[in-house]
Amino acid sequence: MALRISIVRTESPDAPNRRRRWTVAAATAAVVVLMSGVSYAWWSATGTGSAAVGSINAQIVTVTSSSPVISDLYPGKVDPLSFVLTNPNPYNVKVVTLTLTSYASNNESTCPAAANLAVLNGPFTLNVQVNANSTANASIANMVTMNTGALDACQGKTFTFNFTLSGTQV
Amino acid sequence: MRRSASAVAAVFGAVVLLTPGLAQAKWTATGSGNATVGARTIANASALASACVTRPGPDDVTLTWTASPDSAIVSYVIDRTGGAGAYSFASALGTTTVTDTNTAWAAAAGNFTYTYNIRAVVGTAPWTTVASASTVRNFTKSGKCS
Repeated sequence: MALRISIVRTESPDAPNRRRRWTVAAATAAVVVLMSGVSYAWWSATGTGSAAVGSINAQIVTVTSSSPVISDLYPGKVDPLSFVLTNPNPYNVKVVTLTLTSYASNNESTCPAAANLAVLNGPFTLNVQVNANSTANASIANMVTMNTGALDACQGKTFTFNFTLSGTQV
Repeated sequence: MRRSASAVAAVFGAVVLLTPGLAQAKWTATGSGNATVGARTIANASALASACVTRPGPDDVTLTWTASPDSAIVSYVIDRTGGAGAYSFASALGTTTVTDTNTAWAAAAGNFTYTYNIRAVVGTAPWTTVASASTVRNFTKSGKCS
């Protein structure tokens, strides 16, 4: 006489839901681990101590004259203003806006700039990217016009334009 | 069951938001400085020379010179001194010769001289160079040049 043993596995009605919850929980854990950059080791070490990390201070972007300086103005002449943007920061910067704050000649008593030049006042939209720790050339077209009646004393003078700028990290 | 799923979704969202690097702030950039542009110093003509031009009455004097390097933007003024007194006349833009046809000096008591200087000027502006080159012509009382 043969003995037949039959094993019947029964599943509770809630089993599918439990499996789904486990699946979601496992996926969540995996995401947490992967996105936080934590790697898990079987052998872990413990210890104490401290470390510090701080944010850098953003350095200002500077505007300096292109070299050589264009010395081409004479009565009636229109010149661009060319300059170099220097980004001392370790990240790229886009210089968006340049604002003229003042300008003067190197001898305001004999050749006052405001009386002898016509100047675009801006603000000027540049949108020039300056890479990290790097420089970029830029210019403003038709920035300066020397008046047709400019004083003779303006020959050989230089005119300096002071700017502030704003932009953003890119 | 629905509450449990919502809780899991909330945890997942929080993880995403808090994970470094997913939401990156952009730092603003500021700066300042200056840029410079310069004005020309106009160069004068050079090698001014003169020659007598014989005429029935008082002679003329033809003047020639080497153009300024700024010849595209300058014309020239000839300043004459001596004889009948100070007198200036201009050349057209781009030219390097002009003739003085006004040499007569009716009140001359004897021989006299004219000294010519040249300077470059810019358009109608008061820009001019210092008169540097010069040439001299001798005249008799009757206006004959040598």
